[in-house]
Amino acid sequence: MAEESDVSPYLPLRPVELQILACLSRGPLHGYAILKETEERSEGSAVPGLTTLYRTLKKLEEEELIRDCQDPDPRDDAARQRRTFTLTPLGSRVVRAELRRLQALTAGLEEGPLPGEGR
Amino acid sequence: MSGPGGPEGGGGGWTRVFRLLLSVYPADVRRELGPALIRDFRRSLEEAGGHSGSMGRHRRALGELADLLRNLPPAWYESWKRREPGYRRPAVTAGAGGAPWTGVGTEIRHAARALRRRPGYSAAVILTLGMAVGANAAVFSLVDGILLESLPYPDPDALVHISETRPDQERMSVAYPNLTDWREMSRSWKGLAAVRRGWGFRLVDEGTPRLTSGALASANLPDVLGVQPALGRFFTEEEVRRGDRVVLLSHGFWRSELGSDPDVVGSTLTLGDESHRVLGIMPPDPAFPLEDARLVAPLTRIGDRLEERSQYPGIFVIGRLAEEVTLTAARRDMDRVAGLLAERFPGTNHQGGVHLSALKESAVGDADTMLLLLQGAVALVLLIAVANVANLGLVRAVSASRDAGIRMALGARGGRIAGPAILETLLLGLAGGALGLVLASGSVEIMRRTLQGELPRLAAVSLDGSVLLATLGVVLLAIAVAGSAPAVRALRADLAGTLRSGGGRRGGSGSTSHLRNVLIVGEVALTFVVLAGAGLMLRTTVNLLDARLGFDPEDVVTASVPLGSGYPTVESRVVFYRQLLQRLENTRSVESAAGVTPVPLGPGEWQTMISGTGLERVDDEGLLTDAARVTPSYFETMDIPLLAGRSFSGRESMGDPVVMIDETLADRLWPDQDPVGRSFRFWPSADRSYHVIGVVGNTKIQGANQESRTQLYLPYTQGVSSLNLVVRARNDDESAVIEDLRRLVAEMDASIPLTRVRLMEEMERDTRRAESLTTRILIFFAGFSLLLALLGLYGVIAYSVRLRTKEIGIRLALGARAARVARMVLRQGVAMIVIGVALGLVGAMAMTRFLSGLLFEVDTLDPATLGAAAVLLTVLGAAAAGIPALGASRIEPAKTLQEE
Repeated sequence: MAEESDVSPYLPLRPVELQILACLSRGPLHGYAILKETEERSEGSAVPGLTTLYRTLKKLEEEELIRDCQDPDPRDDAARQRRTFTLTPLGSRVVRAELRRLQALTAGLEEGPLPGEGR
Repeated sequence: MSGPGGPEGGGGGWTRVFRLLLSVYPADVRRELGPALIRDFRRSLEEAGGHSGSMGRHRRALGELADLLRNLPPAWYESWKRREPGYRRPAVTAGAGGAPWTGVGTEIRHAARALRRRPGYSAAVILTLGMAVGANAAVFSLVDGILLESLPYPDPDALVHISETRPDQERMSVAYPNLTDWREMSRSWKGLAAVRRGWGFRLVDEGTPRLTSGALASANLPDVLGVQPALGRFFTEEEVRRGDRVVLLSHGFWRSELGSDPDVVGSTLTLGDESHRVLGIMPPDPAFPLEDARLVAPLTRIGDRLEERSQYPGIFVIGRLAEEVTLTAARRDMDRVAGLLAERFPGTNHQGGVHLSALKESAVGDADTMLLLLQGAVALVLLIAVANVANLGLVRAVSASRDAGIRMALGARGGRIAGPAILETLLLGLAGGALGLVLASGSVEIMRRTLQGELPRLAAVSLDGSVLLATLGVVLLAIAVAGSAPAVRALRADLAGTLRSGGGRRGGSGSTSHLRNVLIVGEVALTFVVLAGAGLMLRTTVNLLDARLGFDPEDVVTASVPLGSGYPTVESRVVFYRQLLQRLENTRSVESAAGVTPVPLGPGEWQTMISGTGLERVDDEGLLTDAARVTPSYFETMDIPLLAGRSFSGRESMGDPVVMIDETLADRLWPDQDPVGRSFRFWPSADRSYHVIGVVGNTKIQGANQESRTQLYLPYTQGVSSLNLVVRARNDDESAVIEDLRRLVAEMDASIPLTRVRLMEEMERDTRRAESLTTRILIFFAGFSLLLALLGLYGVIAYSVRLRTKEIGIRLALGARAARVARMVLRQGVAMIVIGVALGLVGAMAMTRFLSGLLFEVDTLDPATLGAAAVLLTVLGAAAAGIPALGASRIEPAKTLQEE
């Protein structure tokens, strides 16, 4: 599929990247909010550090998987500092592809209950 | 530590540590992420403190500090990598042109794609360059083949053309006895050979006589030139001495007339009225001096005139320098010999000298002036074309500079931006060069076919290795020059200014516009030079048309009627011609008819020397003059005025020492006195005085562009061998005259061929061929240059208007009159034209002196021509600038302000 060649350079995603993209797939968020959401979803177990988060955000923005969806008023310093990110169409495709990949990976493991699951 | 302080408080100590660690990060990362990191660090600590108290806060702080530390090495690594050229910045993809360097093939494809997206621009550049390069290649192939290539003989630089000189005659043919003496007295030569070109043989082919052009030669010609016949052999000294009837055929003659039959060697051919044995076939592709000779026979065919030291039957001497002898040494030697001969034969050789020149020079003739002139002109055309291409490139570079600005902001280095620009220029240049070569090869073919006779040595003209190499050099130079301006412009993209002002719209910095204007001024100047040259040549051509020949060639038919051995005596020939002329005069289609030898404007030449004896105004060395034998009605037929005395009666006997002279000669010999009745002597009859019975007007029998020479006339009854007829047609019907002529001659004697039938008007045109050809080519170049310069001017002004659309719109909105706006734009264009024309004037004054060899009755700085060129260029240029000016005045202010 054309989509595959489009997204394959970006896969596999690093866990932090997947976390960020997965968060943003539910709507635009700013950096700290992404942190909070990740914390929530993973129940505190896989929260990235600030530096890691921001560097990854920067990288994802460079790779055009996310973008800054705000047009900040240059006079408002506070607003300018708080950048809000959203997925780009490419980013959507990438995260979907990654999830599919992970599904495929884990597909064969469905037989029988896993410890801690299915109660 | 207890509870949280203010929003920024509590974590003060940790924040300070955080900041400290952060300061070790690369500057760009600090800049970009620092503020957000510090802010969120504080917030995070706050929250953690609110959740889990101070232990939570500390834990969180330590965690974040660890994370900060953990990211330090990769951050530095990335920062370092970003500074490398060609760093893979995934965000900046192909299309904006800042793609990573992925290899030459891809880069070329990108460049080609970019060019395909701009078909107009690409086509304009390729066509402009193609035509200019093609013209240069074509002209250079002429220069290379005609001027530069050596003659196709072994050791061609040792071949020398030797001519005799007299004080008032730079180069003459040679008297054969002098040649014999040279052979004995000079040690500088391996051999001296003689050739008499342009000899008409009467070839009898199955009963029909045909005049075939050939040459006469001495037996040692093959040895001197270094080429032997392809088949058979050349004649020997013995055979020449005995007067054997032998001949050789040219390769072309053998192929076309005899079907390359190898048995032809040893067979016989009827020349004149005698059977000649064919000794051999000359090699193919003959070069000077035998390139037009279909037959080659021994020199002795010339007859008795060969033995006379005072006679000059048109012999051309070629010498091959002996080993280790230089041309300079040979010159000195021959001067010595000439001096000795002058002493020994004061009658004929007084003040006689010799002139030695490389044989190639004589082969080339006058063509060198014209060819070098054309090469110069075509080089100017190339400069204009390159300037235009550079201008187009600059416009494009400016519109792409916004892209360049962004790319540079994202870290692309100069090379990454200039790279595509350079590649595009390279591709365009190569395409233009290829087109040029195609055009050139077509032109060379056409030239070889149509310029036969107008230019010598055309067989040597081709698009060979040296021409291709030179063309490649020209193309690379053109690419370098045309591409450098846009490439430099792209590199110096003004970053901040470009991005802030929206780049393409503002059209770049002032320095770019300045450069474009300079290029246009340059183009206008160069165009003026080419125009001036074309104008001067045009005037020359017109002047030649109007020039006074002294006789009227219009409506005159000439033909040669060579009588064969059936008319052995002068009397029998005179009787024939007299009858023929009488019959002609009685023919309805003929207004008047006469005979003359040699015929004006024709190839033949007869010169003789007037002896100074008894003449006050002639030095001892004598006066060289042209001579001709004529029938009495010659002057009337040719419209040459009789100024004093009378013409010949037609009954003069051999003994009557009467002569007619022209005005100039009369003036030379007896200024301000009545020449009729006076007498003088001339060779060969030094003992007899001829007296002048009549004086006629001056004539230029070599054509309007030759210098005047003096002329004397003798009656045909005293010694004609072959008379040329000049017949003026009644009612402009030359074809009727030709028919009647053929009929009459056939009626009188069927065995006599009517040869060299020509319209004198054509012969006159032929004498102006070189000038005419040069004029035609220069006019073509001038037209092309003019077109390019006007297009360039239009382009620059139109573009400038487009840039200033907003400004103009505002002016108009504020009430400026449309006419004023138009005038403002026009002024800009006219300023460039005026400066260009002024510079061009200076340039033309320097360069037109190269034309002086070809001009006729026009000064190289002729004010009328230069003035006309200036006016033409200014008017057309103003029109080219006027169109966008008009467009400017029609800008609708409301629309433009909206768009902005």
